[in-house]
Amino acid sequence: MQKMSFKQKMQHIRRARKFCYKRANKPRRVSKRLDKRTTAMWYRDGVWRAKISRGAYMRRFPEVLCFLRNPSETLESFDYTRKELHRNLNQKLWFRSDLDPRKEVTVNGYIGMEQVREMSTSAALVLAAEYERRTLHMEEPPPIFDLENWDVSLLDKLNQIGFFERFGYSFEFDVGHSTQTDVLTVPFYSGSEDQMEKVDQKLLSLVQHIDPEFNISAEMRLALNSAVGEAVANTREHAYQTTHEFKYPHVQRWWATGAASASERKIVVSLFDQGVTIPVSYPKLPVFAKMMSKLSLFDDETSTKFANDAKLIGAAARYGKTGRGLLESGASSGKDEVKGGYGLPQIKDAIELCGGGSLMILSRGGRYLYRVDGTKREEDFETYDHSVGGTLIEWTVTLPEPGNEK
Amino acid sequence: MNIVVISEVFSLYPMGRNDADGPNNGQKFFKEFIKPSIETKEPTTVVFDGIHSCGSSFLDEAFYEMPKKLGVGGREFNQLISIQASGQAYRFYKKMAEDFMAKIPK
Repeated sequence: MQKMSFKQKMQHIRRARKFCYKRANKPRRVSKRLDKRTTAMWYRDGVWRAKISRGAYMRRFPEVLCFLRNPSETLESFDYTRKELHRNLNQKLWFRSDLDPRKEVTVNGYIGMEQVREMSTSAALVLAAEYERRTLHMEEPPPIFDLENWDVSLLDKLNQIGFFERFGYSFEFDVGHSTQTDVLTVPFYSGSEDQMEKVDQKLLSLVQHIDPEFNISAEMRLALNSAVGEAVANTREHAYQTTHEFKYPHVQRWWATGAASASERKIVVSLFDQGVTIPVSYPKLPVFAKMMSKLSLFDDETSTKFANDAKLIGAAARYGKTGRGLLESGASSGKDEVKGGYGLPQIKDAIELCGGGSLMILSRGGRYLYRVDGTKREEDFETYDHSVGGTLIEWTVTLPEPGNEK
Repeated sequence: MNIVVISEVFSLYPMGRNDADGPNNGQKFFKEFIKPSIETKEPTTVVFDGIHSCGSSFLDEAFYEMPKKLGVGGREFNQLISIQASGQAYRFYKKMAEDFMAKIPK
């Protein structure tokens, strides 16, 4: 037998790893022994008994759904949800219109959320956006299953962002007082144009929740509002390009929500769109060709299809639409000056103008993190195998302790 | 000398390019407050302090695209229009607007 070269050996190892990964992540078939055959289904403003068919697939979401703490599994779960929601693009109803409420409804599978113990505000927003997109394309919201077995913290998070109310799932549950009083999440809202007054009011309600006596500085208010506005403008101008062929039909909207933790004095604002994504739109800018020669953007390692996504987001956040700071000499350096180009750099600079915090931009399969703590600045680039299905921007800022305000 | 305090006479939330982006857009601001000053050749100071949000598309439209479209020379525009801002965040947007103004062809 001919001896394998080192390259061939590595190829075998990679193939084996890929096979094991795929097998470990394959959706589990519902077993007659292990899983129940019926479950409750919230659908058309009521609760139905759903009978799970024999060949049904069941996908269980991980314990933590968070793009910071468990990004890989969270992205994979949402990618699966997106695919499932878009199975039959032409249908307008999930089940026949003449369903008999006294009879069980047969379903071919559902997503199990009973293992989820924690869902971040941004993850809840992305999930809600997926449900809203599908609902807008159909004549009714998708059914949802097994709510009585979901963890209270998950129910509370989705309830606070207005998920159940928006899609007409009526379900009552008792939430612990500690979580309820500490964290305030403002209901998610969507739009197609700038709604800055609404954004500002929501931001003020978050600050009020942390400290009713606290007067938010004009700087922080302007920086955060403008950053959200800039992201909305970016969505309007670049996200839903007519020349792009979308895998899933879009609804030309953006979604936003925010949360405040009184104990941590922390505010999180998230904005999501289902557009073409930064790794797709940025290389199409006229300035990008010039930038390519000055930046070593591309990895030789092309193990995943989104291998360069994080680097592209990082370049967009640093140099913006004009490549300023890279292509033009004499870029400004003062703290109050525009350092990069226009667009994403303003979104990034909001963190500096707020006096510190972090920014996460997740677009397609790339994640860019930017943290400011005093004079320290950190950047982090990560790429994943699954897409977030658009662009998610999350700002986290901490309010100064009483007496330490500027 | 004209003084235009955006937060008092126009909006606390100046954002967007045109009516499709929202009511408080750059085109509207230019037509209502900057164009008359250019026509009467009266120096005008635009005050940013007090606004609650500001966007680059608003500034691009009001301080670059519209004057360029109207055929106002960069030198003339920069002589007639000046920007005032005191807080750090406001100065950030002042610099951005001035960068747009500097790009208008002479």
